[in-house]
Amino acid sequence: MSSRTEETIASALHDMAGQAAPSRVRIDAAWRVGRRRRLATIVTSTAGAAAIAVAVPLAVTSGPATHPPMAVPGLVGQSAAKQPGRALPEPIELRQVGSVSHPPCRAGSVAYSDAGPTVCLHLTGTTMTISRILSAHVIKESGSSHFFAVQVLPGGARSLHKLTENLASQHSPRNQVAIIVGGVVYSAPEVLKPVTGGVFQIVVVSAAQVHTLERDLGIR
Amino acid sequence: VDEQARHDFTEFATVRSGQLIRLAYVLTGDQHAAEDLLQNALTRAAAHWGRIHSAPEQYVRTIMYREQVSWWRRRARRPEIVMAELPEPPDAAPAAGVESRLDLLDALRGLPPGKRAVLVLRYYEDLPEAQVAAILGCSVGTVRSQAHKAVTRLRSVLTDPDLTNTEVHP
Repeated sequence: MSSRTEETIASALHDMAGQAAPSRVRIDAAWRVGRRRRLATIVTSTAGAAAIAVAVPLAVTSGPATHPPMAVPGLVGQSAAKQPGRALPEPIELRQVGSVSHPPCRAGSVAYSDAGPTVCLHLTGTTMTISRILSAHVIKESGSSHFFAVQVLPGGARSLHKLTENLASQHSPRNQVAIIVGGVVYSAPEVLKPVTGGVFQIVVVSAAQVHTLERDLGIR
Repeated sequence: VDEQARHDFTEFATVRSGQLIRLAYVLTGDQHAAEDLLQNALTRAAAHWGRIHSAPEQYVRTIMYREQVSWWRRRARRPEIVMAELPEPPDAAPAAGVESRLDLLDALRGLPPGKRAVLVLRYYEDLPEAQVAAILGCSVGTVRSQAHKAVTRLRSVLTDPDLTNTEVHP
């Protein structure tokens, strides 16, 4: 294309930009609403159930993660044999995010899109697998938004506390934890403080995901 | 930590909102739509501030581009009239320079958001095709073809002989 044409179009676009009135965006509202949607869906108790995040399906791009799951002492769930509660149809896996990069995602990483640009999550070996829980229930929040409150067993609660204590002490993105159920990562929240109540949340806005997660958590 | 993050976000949004609203305006061609687009992008930026705080502007810009294009895709595509030949440009008038500029602005506003986004990235942001493709999440070939179609459409409203006779090489 000739530079003359480029210059004309560029000039017209800059003219158009100059016609914009000053911004009247509500910065406080953007922050408030955004933080409600924030990644931090993990809360310390069901009473703190205000945090909302968008759960997004995450396709594992190829094979296992870069670092295969490696049990961290004290972080892996207890044997199910002597545990109360009930077994989950699909275990819940909590895995630390080690780094985030732009696509294309290399082998072992997972593509993650939270309605924004897709990023690649590289997961570390710090993980916790929950195969039995005390309870799980789903609450309709607003619109199609639902949140799942999951209460783990006492042993799992201690592991959850250790895991989240570990992550909360680290900087982004290593303070993020991918919540994976049945091969779907529903969110990758930042952990800002240790979870002490043995309860965490998974927030879902897609009706299809609500249905899938209900099934995988044995709620229906 | 959260208070510091809020402060950083507010500072970023305050300082950059002037530039960002202009970008939103050239993308949408409408002040209200531009404000909605920017508001939504900032809300998403706030949701992910911990991850993007070191380079938030590129994130916000990418959100705006993609949101605008997907808004367009979600709706029924506007039927386009297929013509065997490009329409003849109107004859140059005495005030052709001014009129053609106004016509060009109108034509830019009339472009589908996808095509306009490509032009904005190429000629307003002055980015190379590969980077445009990366931001929009499409191939370089798509960028070229969209730019070609957009410029072809704009040519039809221009009266400047230099422009109307310009060959477009995508």
